[in-house]
Amino acid sequence: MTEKYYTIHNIVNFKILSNDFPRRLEMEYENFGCDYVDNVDFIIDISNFSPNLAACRVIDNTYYIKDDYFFCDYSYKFGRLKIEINGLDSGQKIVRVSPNFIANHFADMFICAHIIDFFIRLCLNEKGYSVIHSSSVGKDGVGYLFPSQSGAGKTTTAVYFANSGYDYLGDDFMILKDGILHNYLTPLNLFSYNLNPLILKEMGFYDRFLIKFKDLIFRLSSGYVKIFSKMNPVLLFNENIGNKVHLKKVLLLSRQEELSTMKINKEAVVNNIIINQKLESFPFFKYLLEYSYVFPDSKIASYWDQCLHDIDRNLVDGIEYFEVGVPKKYDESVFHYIRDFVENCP
Amino acid sequence: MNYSIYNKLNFQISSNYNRKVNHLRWRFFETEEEKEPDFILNLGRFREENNGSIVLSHKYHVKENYFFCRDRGLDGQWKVEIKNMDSNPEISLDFHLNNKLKNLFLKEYVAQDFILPFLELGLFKKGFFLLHGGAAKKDSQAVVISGRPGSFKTTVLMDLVRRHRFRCIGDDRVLVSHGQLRPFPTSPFLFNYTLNKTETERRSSLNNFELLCRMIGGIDSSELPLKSPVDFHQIFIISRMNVEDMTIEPINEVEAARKLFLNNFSEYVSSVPRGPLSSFHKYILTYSLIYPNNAFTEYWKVLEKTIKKLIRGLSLFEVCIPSKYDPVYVDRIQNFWESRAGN
Repeated sequence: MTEKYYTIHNIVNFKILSNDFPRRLEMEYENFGCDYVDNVDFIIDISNFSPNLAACRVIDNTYYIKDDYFFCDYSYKFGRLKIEINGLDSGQKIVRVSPNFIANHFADMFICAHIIDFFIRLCLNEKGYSVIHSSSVGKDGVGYLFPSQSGAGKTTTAVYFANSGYDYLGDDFMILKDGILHNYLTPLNLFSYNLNPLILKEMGFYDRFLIKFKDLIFRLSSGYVKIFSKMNPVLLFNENIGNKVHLKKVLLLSRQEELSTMKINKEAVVNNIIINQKLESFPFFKYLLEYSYVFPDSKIASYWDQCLHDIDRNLVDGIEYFEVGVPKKYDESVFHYIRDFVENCP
Repeated sequence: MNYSIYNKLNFQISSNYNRKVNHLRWRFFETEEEKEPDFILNLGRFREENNGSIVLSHKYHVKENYFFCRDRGLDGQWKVEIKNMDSNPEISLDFHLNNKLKNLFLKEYVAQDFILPFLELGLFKKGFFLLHGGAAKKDSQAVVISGRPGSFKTTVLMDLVRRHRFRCIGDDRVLVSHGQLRPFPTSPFLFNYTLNKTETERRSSLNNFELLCRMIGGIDSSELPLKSPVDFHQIFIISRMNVEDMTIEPINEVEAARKLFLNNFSEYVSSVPRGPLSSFHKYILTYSLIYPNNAFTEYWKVLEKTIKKLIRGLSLFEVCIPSKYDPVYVDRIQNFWESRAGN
């Protein structure tokens, strides 16, 4: 049983215990890896376990809930998952995940995206940090945030800017508190639709073939099976990695017919960010809902209200908000337009 | 086929296949009269009109008052389009079930579930709350039995009918206004079949086969409740719990309102994609990215407060039933209810 420790800017610390660390799991949090940390905020324990279901409320024969405790057993796409959480509503969270799952080819991907990521966000949120589904770049201590749904241009935008004299901060999620952006260096999520020519240059023949193959699977399965290719940003951008910048401009990206830019108000941005956060939080959105049903007065029951309150506070005065319509074909000319807009718009 | 809910809400369901089973679901509300429908559901193949829409996350097509997507889940695959989202919605749904047998005969029957959120919203605008729960009546007094799936809510309801001569006036939904219930049978023949042919609500394969045959033949001999409203003063919120003995405890209005709200809302949320109904909240969330002040978002914002007002003055109880069910629990619930009824 191996123990690996991770820290996110010393704000949130966690550890993963497992007999097996598949490559994708290794890669995902590689940049957070550290030596021993004393007090971890959560533990992911991937091993066989027997849940303690005594005195639990049982919902739908699937969810077992009692004070500070949650267990569920269900199927997702190609796997069957057992997950147990102690400390859901308070204190250190101990998360047990059944290991049969990890042997499954897609399991490690699932565990990262749907379990570990959720707890990272939950613990950051508990400390007043907002976690925004966006990419971000910075220059001279000033940061630019690009929140959007998947497919609207987060990665492409960040990569273009990073290759144009800006510092890269992240392409998937960003951490914001009191107007300061902290980098979040998970691997770039590459798919056929966001392959920047600059990235393609770095990819070998095998990787490029894999991307085409995964795209085919995506289409054949009507979007059900989506497998990203991963690339460590530190390897790509070396010294051009930024951290702790003052957020100056927020540019909401959305896929539209034509390139367009428009000033919008803070409320629209907050609404967008919170909804996006909810959409990104499945399956936990449902788990929190069921926990709130049993314990309507718990911290978990007011989780989304708290997130809304925090994002409003963390977007401090003086930040400017815009919406950028990005066409399907996102090439260099589109990027130049956006960059000019970012640099010149008052 | 036209339907009318107590002349308050009218709707229409049309399908490519005029199967007998398709008419079973909402039989209670069938009407011959031609009324202006508050919403329409079209089942079966359709051509989507999604040009000019914004595409979100590669699959959701959104424009003003319009939503479209192709999706799939554990139950099957579908494409759904909602036009006139905020006024008189026109919904088109083409749903294919994974289970081949069910898909052959029942796919449109199952797809009709998708009107539930539109029923809920439409009735709310007319001053009613379509509560997710069951209700039974005895001697002109009713009781509401609410609970999450798997909470023994249906078992309790059936045992009240079997053992205490109650009559069921709602198996899955109940229409609530101040202190009054109106019957809202959603699958009367299913409820009655299970009630009469099984001792617990488990149907054997033979039961299911017989049920399927009856459905295909459109056979529904179930007795439907009268359409008149019934008074009620008590709501029991049931939970299944891994404990040794049953408990009944009073619960305050605030907690009860929250549980009743979540019990309705959670129908439209699932942890993994299943079918169009349990993806509904996700669709509205996506639509809200562009149109945040839409009808459903506004409804969910005010629903909990409205429920709290509706249940003011009622007696509210939380019942925890052990996972090892015993029919004597229903006897105790019945006694408890009866001792407080008529107040």
